[in-house]
Amino acid sequence: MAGEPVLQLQDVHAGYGEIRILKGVSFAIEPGTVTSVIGANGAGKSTLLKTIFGMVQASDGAIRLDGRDVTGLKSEERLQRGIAIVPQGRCNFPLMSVQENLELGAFIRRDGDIKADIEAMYGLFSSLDAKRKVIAGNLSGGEQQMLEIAMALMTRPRVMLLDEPSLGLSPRMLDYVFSSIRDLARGHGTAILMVEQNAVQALRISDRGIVIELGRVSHQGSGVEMLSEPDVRRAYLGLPADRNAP
Amino acid sequence: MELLLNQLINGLTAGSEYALIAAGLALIFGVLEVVNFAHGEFYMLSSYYLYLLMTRYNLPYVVAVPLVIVAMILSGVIFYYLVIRRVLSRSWQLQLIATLALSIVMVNTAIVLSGPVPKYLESPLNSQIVQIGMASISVQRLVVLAATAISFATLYAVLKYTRIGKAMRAVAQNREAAAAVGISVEKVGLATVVAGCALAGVAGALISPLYTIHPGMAALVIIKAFAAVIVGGFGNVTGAVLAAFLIGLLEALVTTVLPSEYADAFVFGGMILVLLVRPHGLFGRVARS
Amino acid sequence: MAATLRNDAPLLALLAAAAILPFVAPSPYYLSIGINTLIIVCLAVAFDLVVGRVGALSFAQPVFFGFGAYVAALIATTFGAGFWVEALVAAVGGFALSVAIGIPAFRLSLHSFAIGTLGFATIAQLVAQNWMSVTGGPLCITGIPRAQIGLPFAQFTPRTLTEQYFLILAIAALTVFVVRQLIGRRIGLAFSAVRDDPTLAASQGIRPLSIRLSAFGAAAALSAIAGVFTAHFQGVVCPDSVATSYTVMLLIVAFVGGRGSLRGVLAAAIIFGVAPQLLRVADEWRLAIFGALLLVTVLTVPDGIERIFQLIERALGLGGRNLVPAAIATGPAAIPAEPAPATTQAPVPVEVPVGEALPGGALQVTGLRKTYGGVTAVNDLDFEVKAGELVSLIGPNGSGKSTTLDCISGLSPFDAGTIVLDGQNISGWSPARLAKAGLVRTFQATRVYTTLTPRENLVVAALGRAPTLYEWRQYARSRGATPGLDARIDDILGRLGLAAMRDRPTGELSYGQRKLVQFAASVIVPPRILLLDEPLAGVNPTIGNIFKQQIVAFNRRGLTIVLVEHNLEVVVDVSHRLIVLDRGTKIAEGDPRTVMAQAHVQEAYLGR
Repeated sequence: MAGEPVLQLQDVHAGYGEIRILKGVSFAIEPGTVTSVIGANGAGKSTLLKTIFGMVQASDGAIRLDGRDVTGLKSEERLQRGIAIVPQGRCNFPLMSVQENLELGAFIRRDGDIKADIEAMYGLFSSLDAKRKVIAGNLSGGEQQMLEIAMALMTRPRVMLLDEPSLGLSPRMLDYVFSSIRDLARGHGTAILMVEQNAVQALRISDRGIVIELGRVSHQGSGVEMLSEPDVRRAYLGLPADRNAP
Repeated sequence: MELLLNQLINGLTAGSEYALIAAGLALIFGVLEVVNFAHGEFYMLSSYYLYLLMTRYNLPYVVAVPLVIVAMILSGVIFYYLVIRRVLSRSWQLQLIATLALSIVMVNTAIVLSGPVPKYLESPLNSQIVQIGMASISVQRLVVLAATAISFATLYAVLKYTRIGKAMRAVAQNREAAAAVGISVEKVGLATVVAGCALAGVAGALISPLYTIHPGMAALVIIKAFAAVIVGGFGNVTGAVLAAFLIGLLEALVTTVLPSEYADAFVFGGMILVLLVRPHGLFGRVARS
Repeated sequence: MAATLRNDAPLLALLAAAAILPFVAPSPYYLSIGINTLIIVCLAVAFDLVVGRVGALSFAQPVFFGFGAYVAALIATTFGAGFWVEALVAAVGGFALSVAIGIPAFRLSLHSFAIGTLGFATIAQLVAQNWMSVTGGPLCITGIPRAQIGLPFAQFTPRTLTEQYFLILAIAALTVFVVRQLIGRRIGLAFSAVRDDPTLAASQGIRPLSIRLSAFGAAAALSAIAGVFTAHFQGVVCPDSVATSYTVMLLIVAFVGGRGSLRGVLAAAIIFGVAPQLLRVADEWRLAIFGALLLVTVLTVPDGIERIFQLIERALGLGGRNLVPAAIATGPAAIPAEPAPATTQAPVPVEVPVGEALPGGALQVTGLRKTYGGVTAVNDLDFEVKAGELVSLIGPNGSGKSTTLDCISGLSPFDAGTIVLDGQNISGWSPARLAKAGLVRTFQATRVYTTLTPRENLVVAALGRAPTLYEWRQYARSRGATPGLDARIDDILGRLGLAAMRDRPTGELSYGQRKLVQFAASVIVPPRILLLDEPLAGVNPTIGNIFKQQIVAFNRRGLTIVLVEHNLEVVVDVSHRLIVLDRGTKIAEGDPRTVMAQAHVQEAYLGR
């Protein structure tokens, strides 16, 4: 757990045009951990992920990967350095097969191990193995979510950003997706930063929780701490402030 | 019989013209979701390039044609950086108006610079006639057909097998997912616009020797290309090409019995009819809305 | 009254300034510039009704202008029935022509509509050029006499330029007046609603086609009247009158002015009426320069002159209205503009309110089947919902829940089956007809009219639910306060914790708040059956609680509810009955706790 942070944000500001969304966000995450970002709609959670990936440019502050500043880099370059993202909503190529989707996941790679890595993904997500030739649009919602995570893993990321992985999933799929996320972090040492509306379940599998409020970090702590913090319980988890209350 | 065969060849030639232009339109829409109202003007531009190269610099036709394609590729690059890239993430109305504005600039600049009087170009191939059965056909028309076939074969191969082609298909299917896997939407956009302009260049370089060159030459052609794109299912390149040939043939058939002005009305009437029955076009995917 | 005067003051001042122009600058040169400018004003203000207010980019507008011109030319050169008859025939005929073009064209979406109308414009021009016996083709209709305007006391024939100028000024004033009346009344709200989200409008009982045709037709009639003037003024009508080059001018004016902004369009029309004369020196380059101007405007100031007006207002501290987001929806900035709500607040206390009883309806679905491209999404589904019941449809992703709602609410045609509401077979009814019959749905994603306020969203929803005749009578009323309805709106917005947001553009609200607005719109006129599609998806727990309590409250008052929802805790808590779907078929039905305990349900849905 302890060690050098793989990703570090320092006083990051970002927004769209005149609208400022992030107003000075600072935190760090470590390899092999899962961190959940929670907060109200519009607090800037998705913008945070997009800013880390470079889809939105930070107007101020610094983003460091393994201690090196990546703030000025384009998305493609950040991907090369090891930051991958699974954006909110459907994020695959619906008319291409599972196999083609995974190949495109490795678009930035030019090495010879791509085939082996695709096989590794089939090993990791066995439900995709049987559907190599099926076009992505015909997979179930959960399978598509798995495919998207596998596509992001094809770049062998050091940090993976997940935006609402549970959106629209049934409870069975949700459990499956969350346990896969936890295993990924433990097994591969990938640092995972995820935004989740389903905050209680997300915090249960998270090493850390971060609350974003009005574009800033208002609370942070371990997943367990966040689940018992009265303010967070009341405002974001829909739970009574006192965890012993009926 | 002879008339019919001649009209068939005429229909296929006109179909090639529409198809080359419609394919570029459909490609740019399919990948970037931008309706390029200036696309016809690029066809006009390539005809003037050919005219300049052949009359002012006295280059022979076979030398001028490849130079026209190169010039069109460069024009495509300028067009992309000047206009398309800047409206990519804007609303579709703004994209449409921006390209329409460019088309106004291009047409009217052409009027000022070249005057409204049509220009004629002689291709050496125009006067060479081959006899097929009872019909006599100019070699230029056969070259048009062959070059169109080669252009589409190349386009297909690029889209299917090359890295940039895959990236183009990926952006067409899901722009955000493409960005997430590290595909540069900017580079793909540039490639797409350049490919569209090159196709329009092929059309201009091959077909203008058959007709006249004037600033308004694209007006009716582009509307037929649009008809082909709509009937073909917006953004579906294959559908647009098929529909374009269909329009060319239909027109050739109709002109055997009606004056050509009414043939145009017939084509648009047909387009509206098709859309009433199938709002997503003949080859359209309902999913893309 | 005072407020109206304040709003109208700039326009009246402009009118007064236009009226004294002939006395200040009586030269023929200035007068003809003035006349041309006023023609552009007429056309542009009418055009903006279509492109700015209902959001349809039409290339057919000059067709109606040309139609009016030809009508006047033909009547005046044959039997000379006078100006009023010409104007009437032009306006009515223009309206009818626009309906004939609009019915097929509005079936097309977005880009296709634009290109389809371009096709119509091309056909119109071909007809004008080739129908020699009527239009004279390229020989034009010449020798059109001056207009004969019958007035109560005399016959007025404008001969001098000054008289012509006042005639077109009157027509322009009439055009502006009519357009302002339309957008100032409730039909103006309907225009915005259909522009913002036609699917939502249809599901609330508003027929988008009728609304769009009203705007399209009004614009056509007004343009045709301007055409009548122009025929008499020029004395000759040629096929060029219907040429698309007018469209270019109109588009320039609409976009440079700022779509949906009357003052912007007026300013742009005046600039582009006067500027060409100033560009005389560069006459041959004029159109190229116009095009370049349009390009630069679109690339640099996409909101046009309206934006400049707003900046001036802000600088003067006038506050000013907010930009109309949909009309300017330009890129990423328009998407996430959600101001963060004060998030650490305690959950809004929501009591289960007592209210008048709501007689819920009963729904029977028999043998429903729906296939998409070979995949059977819903397969022979039967179920029944009794009056006053709350039934939830649950099932894994792709099990057919949303498709079932789409079929019931008329959004999606189905292959087989019947749907019966209170004994009446409603299969195949349009969404709007179903809404009027009391079957109302919400959508999983937030669907609201982003440019309207929450209050206006609810007014529109209430209008849509009214019987058609009453709906259209209501459209003629002012969009301002309405005591009875406003009280109901305040009540429901208050209960949902949205009172403070009542008069802000809904686009500025957070995702969850917009979802609440959508819910409020679905119950502002209590439906007989309410279909809720995942109300809790993507909202935070605070808003989730509000939803849960409201669903229970409305159901207790008697409203029949069909709920699709993934949050099983809530579903089990609130439902009378569960229906479990798996791959389009019903696999279980009954009391929530019993159903959830069944092994095959757990297998299919929970995987335990």
